[in-house]
Amino acid sequence: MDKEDVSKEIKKIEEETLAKLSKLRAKKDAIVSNYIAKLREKKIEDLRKDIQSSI
Amino acid sequence: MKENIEQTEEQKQIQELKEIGDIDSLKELSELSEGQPGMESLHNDVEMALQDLIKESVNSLDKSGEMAAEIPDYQKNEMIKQGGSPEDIADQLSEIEAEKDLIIERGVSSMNDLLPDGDKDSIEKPGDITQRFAEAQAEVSVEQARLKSIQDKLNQKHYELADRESNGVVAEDDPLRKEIDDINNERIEAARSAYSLDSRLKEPLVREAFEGDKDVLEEVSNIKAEIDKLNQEAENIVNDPQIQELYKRDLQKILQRRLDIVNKYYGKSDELRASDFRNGLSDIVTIDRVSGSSERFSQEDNIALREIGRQYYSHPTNIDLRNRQKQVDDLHNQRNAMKEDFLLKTSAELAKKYDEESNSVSRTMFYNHLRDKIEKKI
Repeated sequence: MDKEDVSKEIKKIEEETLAKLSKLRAKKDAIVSNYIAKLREKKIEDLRKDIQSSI
Repeated sequence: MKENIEQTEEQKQIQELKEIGDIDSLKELSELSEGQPGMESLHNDVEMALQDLIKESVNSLDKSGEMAAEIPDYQKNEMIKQGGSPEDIADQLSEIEAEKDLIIERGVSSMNDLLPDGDKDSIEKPGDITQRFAEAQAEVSVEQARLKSIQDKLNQKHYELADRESNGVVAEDDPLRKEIDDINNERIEAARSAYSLDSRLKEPLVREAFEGDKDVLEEVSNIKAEIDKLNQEAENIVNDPQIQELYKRDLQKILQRRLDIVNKYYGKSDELRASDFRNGLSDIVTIDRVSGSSERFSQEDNIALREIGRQYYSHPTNIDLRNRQKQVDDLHNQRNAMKEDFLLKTSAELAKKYDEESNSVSRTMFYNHLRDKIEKKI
């Protein structure tokens, strides 16, 4: 394989790797965001209970 | 000075509880102090801290709401399928981390395979600075956990004292007071130790990470010097021997006169408790309330107490003490803001510098390093 082919091949590997990492990051973001959303619901519920119990 | 310090200590603890978001302890403290004679000021501080915390919670909810709103619909659907307990989430994230390592490992390995054998040996794996940073943080965290545990113990003792005071006098030489002083000294020492360990372990790593990046290094250095200066300035104000001497000379005499009057009444009525006098009489408003409601002070002593309260509060030494306390609080606020900057310049900048692609600093460093090497070779 000459230098040009090696360079192309490396670029390809790099792009593929970054694409896989990008998908994985989106998956991770989704899990974290979901968790935040659930925590938010729970906090709102706790605050609501607090307010109700203090009335 | 003692009463002034006690008051400051209480405020400091309330602030600390607020900072760590310990709503439960604040609520407990609020219940303990509610309606207790002489604890109005404490109760008000606790209530304000609770209100601030609730406001912060609402703000953070707004922010997390915005974050959730940014998620695309297809991801939201995926999220609904996911969810689970914190442990499940942690497991899922660990799996993702493992998968990410594998992807990078494969990528690096495939790229490596394309290099001639001689070049493989020339690829140097850079020092894993984030790993060492994480290890340093772990060590600091142990010290911080110790500090937290001492703080909890101190809070507990303060509650115990408040509880006993609400049932009657607790002598100045009571072992509990000595115990509180000892734990407080232990807390101060642990706080210093945690801060010093943090500087000693993390700073060299930050310097190493930003080697050659003069601007960042200089900025971090300036922030650190500024923090040290502010700490020293605050300590000088608190430990000024001149003001302590003035306190003994001027204010203690006034308080002794007050105590002499109070001692004439103490023990004669269940309604007049030592805690009312020790905590409450330093507050002129409370003097009015206690004396007005009980009518057990003679008119002459009532007038004398009011006059003592007026003298105490308007005395130049007391005004000086309050101003100094304000200066110390201002310095601590400035220092905390600086610390925040310092943290931003270290962890966030460190992450920004190396962590743009994969969230895995060491791997990304290695990966970028390898890519640079390869590009230079071709």
